[in-house]
Amino acid sequence: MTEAVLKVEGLTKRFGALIANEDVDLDVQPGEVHAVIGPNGAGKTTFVSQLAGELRPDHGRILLGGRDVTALPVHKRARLGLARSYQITSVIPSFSALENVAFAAQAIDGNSFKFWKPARSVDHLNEKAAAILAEIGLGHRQDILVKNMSHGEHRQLEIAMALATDPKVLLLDEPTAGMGPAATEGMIAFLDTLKGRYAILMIEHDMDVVFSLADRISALVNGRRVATERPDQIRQNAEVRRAYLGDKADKLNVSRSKASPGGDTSC
Amino acid sequence: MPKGLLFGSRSFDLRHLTMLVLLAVMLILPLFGDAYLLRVATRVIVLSMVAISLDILLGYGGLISFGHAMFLGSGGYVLGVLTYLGIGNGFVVYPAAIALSVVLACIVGMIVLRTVGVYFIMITLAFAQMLYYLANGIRIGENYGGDEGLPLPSRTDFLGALNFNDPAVFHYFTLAILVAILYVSYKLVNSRFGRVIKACRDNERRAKSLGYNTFGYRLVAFMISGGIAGLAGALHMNLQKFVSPDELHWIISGDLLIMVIVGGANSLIGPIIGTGVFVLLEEGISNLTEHWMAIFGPMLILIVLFGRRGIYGLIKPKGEDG
Ligand SMILES: Nc1ncnc2c1ncn2[C@@H]1O[C@H](COP(=O)(O)OP(=O)(O)OP(=O)(O)O)[C@@H](O)[C@H]1O
Ligand SMILES: [Mg+2]
Repeated sequence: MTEAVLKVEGLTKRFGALIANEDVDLDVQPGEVHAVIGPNGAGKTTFVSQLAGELRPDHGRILLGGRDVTALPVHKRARLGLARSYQITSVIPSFSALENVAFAAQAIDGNSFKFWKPARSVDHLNEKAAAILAEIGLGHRQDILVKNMSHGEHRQLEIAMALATDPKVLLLDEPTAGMGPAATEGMIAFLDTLKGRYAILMIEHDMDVVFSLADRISALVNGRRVATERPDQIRQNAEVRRAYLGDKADKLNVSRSKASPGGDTSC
Repeated sequence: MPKGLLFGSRSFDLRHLTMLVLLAVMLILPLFGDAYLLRVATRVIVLSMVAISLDILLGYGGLISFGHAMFLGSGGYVLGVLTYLGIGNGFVVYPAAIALSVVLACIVGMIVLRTVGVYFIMITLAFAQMLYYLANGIRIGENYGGDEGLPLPSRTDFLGALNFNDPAVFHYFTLAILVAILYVSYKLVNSRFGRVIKACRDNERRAKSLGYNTFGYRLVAFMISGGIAGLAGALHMNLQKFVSPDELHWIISGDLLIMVIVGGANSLIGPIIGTGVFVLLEEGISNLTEHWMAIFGPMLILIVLFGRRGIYGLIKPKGEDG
């Protein structure tokens, strides 16, 4: 194996008596899509939040490109190439779609102590933002205020913003959360174009998305990583099958399944 | 200035008209020779600067500072104390007033910006009250300072270029400064820096996860705001020829918030209109009755309830967001 772009060792996070993550080891190789699946409340978002730096782990280490970033604040990790998209859409509501992405691009364009020139007329940021929006299929919507956009468009914008920071690692927390089947297909097709270009850690409930994109799949159950397998092998994993008793066990076997249940789809 | 430059929209609308009328009134007023009216007008101009500086934090940055009077005080006291020390040169005392206010904002900002929401409101208030008591301790000789305040011992002199004792000259001078502040603030809030500040207001978490050191940007915004307010504080001292701890009292900080909110936060014209309305009502109603706040209070609630963006919300073109 080559050196992992992202490596997590023994990550543990407790909320009082609740153990949200327990001794989780995981890595993401260059160009790999590593999916993390698991039932509701398994600790997936908690895991991503620790990687991004919003939550401090109780134990464990996070290595980005070999460098220990466990103690770094969120913005410094981002500057090292760690980009995140949120399960619950998190954008700048008073900005247009273009300005949201341009704002993301601005984050890596030196510092922003630039007080005079109008932000809206910084061509290289606008051009980069427009190109990313066009790529993701929002080209025709770039001047719309995001508060007037649909949920599906918000999900696309989430990813566009993450991409605009030229990341090395993408942390995608349920990129298709709350999307209808057609929009999900579109998102799968788009994420497929990212495959190989970024190291991607993707949390996903929708097994279609997982099996279409993942190179490896890890299952998180009650905060513990119970398996890491190639997609063709995860179905056979006994621990995973046990965790997915009932309807989800079927999901692991069928190729067509419904989008993830609600409860985390608001924005 | 080219048309549309200041307001970001191409066409001429009610906002431009309001500004032009206000500007015209301010330009013509000294010609009438009514000393009282002129004084009120100059006061509106000076307090407008503070309101604009507060709105950079409040409307654009989402930071509700309940201690902004501290900078009105810092600017005034620097001018007063330096003049007592025999430094009356405006080219020295004005930059000093601004510089000290920026330093104060930096120190205060480093602490208050670690909190958010209600805690931010409370801790800015606490800081201002602390400085209020500190100002009570500023004494010069036997007779000056303390809770009595400091009279300005001699007029500020700009190497003979400006006679601040002439109310008309002082009025036009403050008007020119206000226009400059308005222009600089306009540039600021629309710049890349301003974009970061607005994004932090909307969604600080996202700004961080994109790689922005939001604390640093907010701190600089706080310092800029403090500097503008400090400049206004010095001008206020020149207008009143007097500064006292009352200048830093929390009631003044509250008045400033009212000016911004009534006029319309998140706009640059709003705070000016709000200040105008506030000062005129204060002068007007308080001449009629001592309990002017009992009349002004309910009016305030109505304005905030029905015009969600204050008075500015009534004059901005429909559908426009800025
Ligand atoms: N800040 C918090 N304080 C206390 N408990 C929390 C906190 N955040 C999450 N939890 C709890 O930790 C557990 C894991 O939550 P997490 O959001 O990581 O799950 P998830 O796997 O992302 O679930 P979902 O599939 O519903 O998104 C849940 O039981 C949740 O209630
Ligand atoms: Mg989650």
